[in-house]
Amino acid sequence: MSTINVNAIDKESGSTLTLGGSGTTVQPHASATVSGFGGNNTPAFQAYVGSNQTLSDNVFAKIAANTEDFDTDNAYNNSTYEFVVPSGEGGKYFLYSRATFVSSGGSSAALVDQMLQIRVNSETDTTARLMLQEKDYQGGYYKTFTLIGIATLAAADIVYFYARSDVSSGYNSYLSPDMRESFVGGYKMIGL
Amino acid sequence: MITNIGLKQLGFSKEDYALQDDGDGTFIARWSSDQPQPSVTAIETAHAEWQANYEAEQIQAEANKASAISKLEALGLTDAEIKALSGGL
Repeated sequence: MSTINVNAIDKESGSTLTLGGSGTTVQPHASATVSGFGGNNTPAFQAYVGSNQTLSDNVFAKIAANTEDFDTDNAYNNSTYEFVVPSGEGGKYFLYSRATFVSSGGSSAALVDQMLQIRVNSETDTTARLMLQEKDYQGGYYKTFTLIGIATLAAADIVYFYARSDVSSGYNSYLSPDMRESFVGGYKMIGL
Repeated sequence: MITNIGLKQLGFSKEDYALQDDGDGTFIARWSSDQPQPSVTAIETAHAEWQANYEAEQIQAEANKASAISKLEALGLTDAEIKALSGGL
């Protein structure tokens, strides 16, 4: 076997550089570092609700995920609870939110209908990009939902994570912070 | 303040509207009813009416319970027997 030591290999003409031929396996050395292609799943972020978040009856509220697990591009704002797609990072994003609703305000069975939504920019409750809802349920104490989905986003798009909890009249509910029961997150997908 | 209870007290269903709070208080983000959107004052007044009715019902329920226990005691039932009948009240 012979070795060629050069600092760069490039095409001579056209636009394609071909390595190997039919039946050839092109394999980097086991200790080599390969970069510049393949990509990684960033931007990526995840944040969780750090303390009880009281929800008013039947009112959409942003999930107050104020404690970050990671935020590779500093694109998630843990004060406004919004993710802004960084410049040059448009594409397909895997988005998710989890919320654990707990009956409160003097009742241990006040949960009725719960809903999660992921909205982009000016989307509303009737046009949200992703939604999960449970309807016509009565008397719940403790319910957990997870909303997941893929959204095509462009640079500067703003992603919002909403929760709504309808409870029996006179009571309220809250999102539980215990052991990351309530959180939001997302990451850019490669190869799509 | 805009509340779900106030709107329900006015006769609207939750399909008629969407309430939202982005940190500056609850507002009506969508109004879909064929009826005009009520004022904040009207919603607050309706909420207060509901609250008054709710508290009156609570007071009446307590009074009914006390009255029932008193009548049972007059019939000679013991506290344990009354508790057994009432499911632990």
